[in-house]
Amino acid sequence: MDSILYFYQYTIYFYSLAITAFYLFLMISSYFMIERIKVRYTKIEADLLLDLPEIAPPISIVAPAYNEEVIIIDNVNSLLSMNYPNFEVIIVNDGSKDKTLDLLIENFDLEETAFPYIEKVRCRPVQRVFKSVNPKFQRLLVVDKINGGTKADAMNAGVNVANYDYFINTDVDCILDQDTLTKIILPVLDSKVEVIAVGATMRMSNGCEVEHGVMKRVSPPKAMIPTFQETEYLRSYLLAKMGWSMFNLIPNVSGGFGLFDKNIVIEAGGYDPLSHAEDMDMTLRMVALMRENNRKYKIVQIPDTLCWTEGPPTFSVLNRQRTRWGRGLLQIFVVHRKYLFNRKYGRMGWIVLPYALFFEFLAPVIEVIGFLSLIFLLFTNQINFRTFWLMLLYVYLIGITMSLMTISYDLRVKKLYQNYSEYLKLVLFSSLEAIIYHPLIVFFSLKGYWQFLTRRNFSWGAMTRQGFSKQTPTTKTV
Amino acid sequence: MDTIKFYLYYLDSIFIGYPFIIRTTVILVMLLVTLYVIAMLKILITERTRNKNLKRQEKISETYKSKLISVLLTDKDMSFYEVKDILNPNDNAFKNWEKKYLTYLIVDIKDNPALNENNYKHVLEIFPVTDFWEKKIQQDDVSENKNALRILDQIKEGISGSFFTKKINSNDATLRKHIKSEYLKYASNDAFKFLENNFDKDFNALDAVRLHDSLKERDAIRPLPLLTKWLKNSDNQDFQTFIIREIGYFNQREAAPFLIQMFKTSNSDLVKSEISNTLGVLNYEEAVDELAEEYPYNNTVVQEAIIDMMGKIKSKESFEFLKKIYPETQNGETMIKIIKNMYKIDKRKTNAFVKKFTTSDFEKEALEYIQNI
Repeated sequence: MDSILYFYQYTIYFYSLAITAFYLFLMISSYFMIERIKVRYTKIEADLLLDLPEIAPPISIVAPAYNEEVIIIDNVNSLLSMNYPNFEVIIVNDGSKDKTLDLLIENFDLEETAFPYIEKVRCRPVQRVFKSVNPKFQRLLVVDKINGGTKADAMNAGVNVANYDYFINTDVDCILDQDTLTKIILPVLDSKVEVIAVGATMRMSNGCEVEHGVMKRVSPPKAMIPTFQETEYLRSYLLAKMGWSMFNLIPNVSGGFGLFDKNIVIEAGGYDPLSHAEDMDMTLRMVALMRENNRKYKIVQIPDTLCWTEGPPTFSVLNRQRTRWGRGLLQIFVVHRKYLFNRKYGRMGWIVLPYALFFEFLAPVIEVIGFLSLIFLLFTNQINFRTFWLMLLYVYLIGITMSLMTISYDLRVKKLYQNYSEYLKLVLFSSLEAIIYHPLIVFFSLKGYWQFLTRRNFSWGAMTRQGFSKQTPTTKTV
Repeated sequence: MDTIKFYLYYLDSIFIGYPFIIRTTVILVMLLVTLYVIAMLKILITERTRNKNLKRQEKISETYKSKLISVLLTDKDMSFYEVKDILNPNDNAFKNWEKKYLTYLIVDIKDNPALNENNYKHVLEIFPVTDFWEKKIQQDDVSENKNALRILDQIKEGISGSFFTKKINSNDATLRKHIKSEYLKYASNDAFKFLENNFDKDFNALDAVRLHDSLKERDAIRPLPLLTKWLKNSDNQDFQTFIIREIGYFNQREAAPFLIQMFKTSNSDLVKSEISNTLGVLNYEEAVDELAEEYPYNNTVVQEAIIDMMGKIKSKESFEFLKKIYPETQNGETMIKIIKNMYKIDKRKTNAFVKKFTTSDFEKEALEYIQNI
């Protein structure tokens, strides 16, 4: 038993050393990437596209909606208010049982229209297509389809009706920045290599002031869980994805917000309705397609915050979200096991997936085993407290240093909060994250793995919407 | 000093005595604490710098904004001395930050459509902002160079191609390409020299946007020369596609026969599609027969571009061509395209044709959809 524990302790130590090394590496590379992008793309470049509509590439925005009556109107207004000359908004009503479709018809003067529908990627049948008779909403197209049970199925319907070569994949609980389209398309234009996807920073909309679907004031969330998640998101986008982007190693363009090359998505077979992590699944299959056909590609991440999403306000919603992510991550390794350590898939097979396997998938397992062995050692008086505190400090410092560095990067990109005290709130929460929030995430991830292995609870976790506008009542749309 | 040395050696000997794992951890903890402090300082410095810049901007704005508005946004053409009297600039040399924020202020006011060009020239003579940014372009800092380039493009007045020549061969591709497109905009001699040899080896779509902007500005002053000249010398299909699109945008109909020849000899689907689009934009009727002959031998992407061209040309021949290819079309999207372009040419005939020849609901839906667009 002693030798097992001894071996385990050393393994864990070197595991944490490897994590620290990776984080430091990402911290440095993301710093250079943020600086590079800040110099390369400014308001001048964005304005150029606005001044030259004849050359600005058209973009489709696709947002699936299932029982979203609370937020649908704000969201569609937000999407229609984009500051860009050439775009369309496609809302896919995925067989909602509430008043989502009725509200859309009523608020945007929609009428059913003939539509020559072509199924390029598989999804449940599309029943009707609506267009507005009001010229003010001429960019809007609403697709009404039979419920497919997943966002992936609804996204596929959106891809089938999208008219343009690039599309934004977003959710109806997201509010997009008005300059989103100019900012997200610039890296696509500025590349000789085919850019198959672009991601940007997402943060929490809880606590922000939104008026008629337009972000008026950005603030950190007031509730505890979304505040923790704000820092977590910033760390994921500004540190991890920005850092990986330097080497074209982005593992996942978020399902909440991302720009995709429509033809590559179609060639790769569209979104997988059976996937619990349809975003990562899609990204990996797009990369695999490019690798299998020896085509050069690039996935880009930009540091600007372009999307605000509603964070889980309660533990039960967090539970639903994170168990789904846990199920999704395990499913990725089961479904795409052939990519792992496969020379044919290059960096994806040798770096992206092994990193995700060892440092994302295995991390909760190792942490729980570590915690249990710590309790065992405590009860058997085998802990050397002189070194214990040093090790604990080391582990604690990894998390808070990376969080603080991320907050400083966020400030460097753009000061979105009005007061520095609001940033201080993030600093304070990041120092408590390891104690309060992280154990929950570990627990929910393991629960997700367990659900996947035991094939339990495979239905999609529904989100409890609170709405963006202050006057909007809270309604549970499960 | 000896006491410090003593304690250093003492701590060192204790540290060396610890096991490897502990020593590594201590080093890592120290590294992480240092990074934590750096991040904290970075946040504080960012805050301080931002506040300082904000105050400086406000100070410049308080001193000059109303004066600049009264000079720049007036109908009255003033003399140099009148403008100088109003602005009353400090006789002492301006500090660099003053020049910077003065530029931002001037550029901001200049965007107003009521700008008085005459007075604007005097303002730029009085405030040495152009020289300031020109010097920034000559510096060895690429980010400063890029920023200065953008500012000079906003100032516009008094900018010439010679401002950019020093950095035109920069190793930084983004800077080099940006400078070349600005050179095309402002040079008074041999402005188009970079359009020869494919503009740049790293030419991409963002350069195309910038070049389009430069060409538009030049065309507004004097019509552009025939762009086929640079098409002939190019072997980069992205650049060729860009030039072909510009030929259409600037309506250079004289280039059409050359484009048809190029269509026949090119192996690139991208180039062929763009030629078809451009011939449609140019409304070059002679292209209908020529491209109709080429239609069966090309890929779908080129065929669809030819179909779009037919719709833009709107001739009787182009309608007949679309009618001819419709029954043999299997691809759903191409089918929609054909109906759409036929409908553009003749609504009544299209309705009759589609109703007569179609059997599937899809085609009926397609027609109804196009009627509703």
